[in-house]
Amino acid sequence: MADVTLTKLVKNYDNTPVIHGIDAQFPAGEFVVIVGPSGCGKSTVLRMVAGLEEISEGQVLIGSQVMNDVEPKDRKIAMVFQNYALYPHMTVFNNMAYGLKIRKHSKEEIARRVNEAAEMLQLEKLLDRKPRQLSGGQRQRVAMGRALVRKPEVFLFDEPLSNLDAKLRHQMRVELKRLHKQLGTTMIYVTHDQVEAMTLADRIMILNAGRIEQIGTPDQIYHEPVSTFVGGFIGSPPMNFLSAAVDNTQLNFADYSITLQNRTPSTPEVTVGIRPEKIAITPTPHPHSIPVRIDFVEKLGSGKLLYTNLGDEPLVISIMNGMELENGEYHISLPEEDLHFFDKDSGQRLTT
Amino acid sequence: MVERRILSSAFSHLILILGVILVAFPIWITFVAASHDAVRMTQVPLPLLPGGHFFDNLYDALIRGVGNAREQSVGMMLFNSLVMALMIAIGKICISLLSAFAIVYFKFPFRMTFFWLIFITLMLPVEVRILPTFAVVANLGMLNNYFGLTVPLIASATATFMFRQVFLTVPDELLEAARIDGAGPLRFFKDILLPVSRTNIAALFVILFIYGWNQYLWPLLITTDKDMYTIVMGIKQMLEAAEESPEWHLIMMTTLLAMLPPVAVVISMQKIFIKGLTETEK
Repeated sequence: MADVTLTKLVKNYDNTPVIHGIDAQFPAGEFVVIVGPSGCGKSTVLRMVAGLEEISEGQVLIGSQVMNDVEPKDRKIAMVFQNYALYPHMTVFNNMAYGLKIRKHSKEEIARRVNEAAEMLQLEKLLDRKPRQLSGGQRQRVAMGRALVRKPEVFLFDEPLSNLDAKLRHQMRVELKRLHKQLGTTMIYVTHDQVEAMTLADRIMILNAGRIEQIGTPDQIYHEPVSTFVGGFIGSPPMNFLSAAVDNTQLNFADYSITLQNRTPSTPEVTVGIRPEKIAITPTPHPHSIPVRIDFVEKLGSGKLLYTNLGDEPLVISIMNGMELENGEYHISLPEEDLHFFDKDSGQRLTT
Repeated sequence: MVERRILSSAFSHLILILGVILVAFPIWITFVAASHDAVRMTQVPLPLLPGGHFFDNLYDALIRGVGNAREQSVGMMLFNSLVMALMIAIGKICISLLSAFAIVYFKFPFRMTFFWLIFITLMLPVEVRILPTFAVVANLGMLNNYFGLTVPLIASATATFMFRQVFLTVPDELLEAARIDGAGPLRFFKDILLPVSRTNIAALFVILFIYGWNQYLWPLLITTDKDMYTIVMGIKQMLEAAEESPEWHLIMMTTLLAMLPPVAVVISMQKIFIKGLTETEK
């Protein structure tokens, strides 16, 4: 176990910066998920930690040691790749043993470690197979086994579940989480899937265009997004955004307005964010309710998603089962305590 | 096929049979000629059915020797050809594997320049650069030996280019995984790259072996010593027997023998050869 520190980490490709100075510290034993849209530089950050990508400026520290000029093999890390990167001509056993063989461990030691990892990942019966004889999930487990036998200080995962189908992905997610509990090793995990980020992470680091947007626990990120970007990225369906003007305690949307009791944003023009599940909907009007017309209902089994518009801005409402709903006229209310206020131009969170 | 009309079926068979006859008939004639004695081969019409002297001719060719004074042994020529073909094929594969490895996996100044330098040698086969090459080989004292026969033919742009393409299809992650596992460049080359391109190597070996075996012009220039003759040029020499009429039965026997090693290589490596040309999964 070791902590990982990134200080002013910068990456330039041909003088074009793609990572603009990242400062972060991940304590030993933490499960950190780096998440962001494609092209935000999350894999680049991971590869700089791994030593596969040169560091243009700044430092990567693992433990207390600066790793900038240390070869990947000496960084005490292990990495799992998106396409598994198993050696196609080697058996599962040899795939896992290869790194240990190079490090000249004894035969008994290699066999012991590989068998131990195989047991942990339920690969015992597959040790003599070649990668092409395995299913996607099994290959993924072999790739993890190859990382496990190394007994690294830090595990690095580069979108390891992206090539699996939804069911298997869920199953592997659970296994990963269990593995982390069991080993207690620092893990850095890159994904574009916000569900994986929310379920796996102790802490999430959200990247946007090479900059840190927010670092925090899944709860913090979900309940207190620092910007419209974070609110829109985390959560499925994402947060609704409505533009509004502030007039004393009145919050004026395009056609409606509500009165704020306790909170007043500091700027006159704001973007109001609200999570789909926080919107209350009733068939009959009540004080402060806003009439809406439901255009379209999406049934998820455990609940429903209702699609409507407020003014000309789209609005998604998520409800549990139990309420019979059809397309038509309804009334919604936006609870004040669940509203998030963001600056209209910068998208940054406003204090109220 | 879906279409089962007798007429079209018969027609396609006819075409196929004609094709087979076209390809196989000369080989049949070779075999027939190799099984008659010298006298029968000078009479017209030439025989179309095998005679009874096949093993006598085989004995003549392999043991007693051919040529005016029975001084040339076909066995020796076969051996020379085999050594030459193997040296060319293996040498070409080794050199081009290494140069492709350097070009694909190492960053060094003028990398692409070197690649294109290698590539344009495609336009300079031995026939074009025959004089300077001969001069170099002669000055190095490599006339009449195996190195003179093979070294100038070994550098190969085609094979380098092919291995470059093969290496480019190997996913980068494989290299990165190996780096994290602690494999240095040569270790990666030996443990990962070679096994992964195994089938391509085999396919290339077949092609290059036949290329080496069929060399005619270069051995003709380089060898003056009869002990160094290769079989392809040996056959040609036998045709030019000075005063006598050519010994067709022995020439055909030699031709038959000359065909055997390439055929053996193709047949024994056919499966892996096809795999190497078609397999895409890495």
